[in-house]
Amino acid sequence: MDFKQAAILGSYISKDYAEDLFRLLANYNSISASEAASRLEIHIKTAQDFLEAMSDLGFLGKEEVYEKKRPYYRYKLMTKRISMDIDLAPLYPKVTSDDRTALRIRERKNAGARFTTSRNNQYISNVVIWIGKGRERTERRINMTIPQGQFFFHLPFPSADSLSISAIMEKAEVDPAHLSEILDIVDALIEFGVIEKDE
Amino acid sequence: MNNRSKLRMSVGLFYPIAIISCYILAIAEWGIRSWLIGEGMDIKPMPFFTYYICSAFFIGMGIFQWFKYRLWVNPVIGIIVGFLCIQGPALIINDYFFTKASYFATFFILGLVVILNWSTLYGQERYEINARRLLKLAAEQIFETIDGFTDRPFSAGQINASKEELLGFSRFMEGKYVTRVFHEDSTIFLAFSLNRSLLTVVNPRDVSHIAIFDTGTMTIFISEADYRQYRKTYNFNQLCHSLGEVVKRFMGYYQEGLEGRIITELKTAR
Repeated sequence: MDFKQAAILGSYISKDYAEDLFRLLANYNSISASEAASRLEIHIKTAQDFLEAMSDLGFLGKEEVYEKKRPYYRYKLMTKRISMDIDLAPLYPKVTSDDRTALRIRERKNAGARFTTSRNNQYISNVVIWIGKGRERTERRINMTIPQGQFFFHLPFPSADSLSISAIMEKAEVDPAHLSEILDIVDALIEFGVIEKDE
Repeated sequence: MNNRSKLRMSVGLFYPIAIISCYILAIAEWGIRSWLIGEGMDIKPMPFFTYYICSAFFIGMGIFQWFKYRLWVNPVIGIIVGFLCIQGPALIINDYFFTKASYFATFFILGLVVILNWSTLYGQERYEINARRLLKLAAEQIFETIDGFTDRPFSAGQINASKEELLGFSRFMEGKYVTRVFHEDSTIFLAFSLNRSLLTVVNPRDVSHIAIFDTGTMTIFISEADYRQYRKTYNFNQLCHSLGEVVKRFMGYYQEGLEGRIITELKTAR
């Protein structure tokens, strides 16, 4: 199951009528949306959406029937167990090797960001960025993990020469195991215009 | 070589300039008044206008310095001196006891305020002079002008000294009014400032500082207000690095027992 399917299942399964609907499906050989809605006193559209979603996820079988009126669907439970197994592997960064760590970066001039140092003054604890203009202007605060904060503490100043990510990590004595979180915050701050990279 | 200071003029220099200007203005006003009296106008030769300008200057400077340094004694002295300037002409042209008494009473109050706050006034003056020297020394060899200010501290590397040496060095720097020392956990902050008075600072992070950790790691922070005191936007990275080198050099002098060199070097900063 991918994350999108899991999100659909999660959102429907959390409804307070979900258990009752599954009980109906377990007890009936097959059931239509209008029958289920009238039995549980919920709106027919609500029942229809639920049954359609479960059908799309493959937990229900769907059969189109004609009974001297316009066609409609009857749903049948196809499984006695639903298990949510989400594969997080695709969420891991695809590239954490040399090509990204060679990226040369430094703080952007007049970035307008405000950095707060930790109490022991040895790493950056958060960065505050202002987004938008005029009345639309909002404050965005990004709290950093300690390795991220140590990395940013050693980020070259706007007037200094850019350094590669790997060089900054070495200077900041950040464990290479934290590379993915460093790359994540670097990407975010490049997007917010706090960091500039050498073209 | 250009001998012009890399820092902007100190606020304290406004006083002699304004006082000399007021003398010139007073002479001019006296001359104009004498001429008008000669023309038959019924006025007094006393340069009232100059006195009032002088009064406004002292009061204005007192308030300005309060905003800059956050020392309450500045506006108090400014207002008292401004009041003295207003009373001055009245003392000269009137012969009433009350006028003379009130002038000398104000003068007495001024003396009292100055005496009672002498340590504050002296400390502030010394701290500011030495902060200027420190910043001048840091910028002495820097000519590249790229703004690049950031409010992140600069990692200035390691300082080779024992904890006792660091404590001794920090005491020396405070004793000579070069920096004010703050101790926080395992960190020694050597604070300096051209703006907010160090005598009113509670958190050293509010002003420029050099932070030395017990591991010997040193970071430099120059506040934006202090950085803007330079006439040009010198390369901020180089400036912080240079200041770090100055502190390391001073530490070296201290370790060798050559503390006198620190003061000599500060005094010769241009």
